[in-house]
Amino acid sequence: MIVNFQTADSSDSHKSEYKDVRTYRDPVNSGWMLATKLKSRIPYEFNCMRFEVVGELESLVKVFSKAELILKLEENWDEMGGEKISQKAFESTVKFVTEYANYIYSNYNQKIDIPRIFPSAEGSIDLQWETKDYGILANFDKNGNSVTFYADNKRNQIIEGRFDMEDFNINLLPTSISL
Amino acid sequence: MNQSEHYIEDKDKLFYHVPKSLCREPDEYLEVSPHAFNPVGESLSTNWEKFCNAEGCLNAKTLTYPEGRTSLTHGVGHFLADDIRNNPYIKGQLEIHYIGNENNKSHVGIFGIPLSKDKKPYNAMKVQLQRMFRKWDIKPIDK
Repeated sequence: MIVNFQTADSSDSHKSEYKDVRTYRDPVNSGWMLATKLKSRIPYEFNCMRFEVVGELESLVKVFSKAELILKLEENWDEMGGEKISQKAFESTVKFVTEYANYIYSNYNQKIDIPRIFPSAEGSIDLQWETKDYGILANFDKNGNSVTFYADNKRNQIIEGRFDMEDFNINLLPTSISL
Repeated sequence: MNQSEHYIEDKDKLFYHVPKSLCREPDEYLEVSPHAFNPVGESLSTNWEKFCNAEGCLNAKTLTYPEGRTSLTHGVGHFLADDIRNNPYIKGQLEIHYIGNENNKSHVGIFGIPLSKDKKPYNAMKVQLQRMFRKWDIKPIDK
């Protein structure tokens, strides 16, 4: 017998990673078993690396695919002596967005706004969110490790900082969600 | 009011050309990269509307473009002097100076943009410049 399991608190925050949560009677062990079904994950592969976003964030995979074009830019692509964009910077950008988006969705049941990925100075990448209410810009250096960022609410609040991809606390970063 | 011939009024436009490579999504050219406002040399070079229009900014002959640029390679937008001078997030950091000569009478430089290697101040500045840039007087196109 399969019984649909209703949480006492029906808020979305409990749904987290699971599409539905069911209990069923296990005929072998004579007990109730908890069956869970993970939400779908959409893969994105680049340079032998595999990233996965929660199914509801599928649009991010399209952003990554389109952004690969910046890796084809030649030297002096910006007419200012610009270096070719680093693959490490691109991998770090994708890794960050994937982890960041999945984390926010899993913990707050919110989808991040769609970012833009731009080529930038010295082989680095600019990751940007710009809406009518806020702006965030994060620059991933060509080594793919150091990230500096700027964010404001287009009024009176400004946040700036830096972190290393190898070790950072995601909760200390601005959140790219439209309120 | 300053009556100097080279005084740039707040309402004046400063035209600025942007290579297509710095515009996102080649088929739309809707977004200009924050990196598009990285100066070559000491200042960001613009063309003052008092001595130049958008077409003049685009078509100016240079060593790199001896026949002038075209909308196949670049777009042209502008800044307003007032925005540059009075942006509350970067107030006082940017200055506008007339640096024209007989070869380029309309040349105006925007000074005070941090070096790109100074990541944090450069991040803040390029976001503001991107927001202040008004596009397009001449939109970049494909063939």
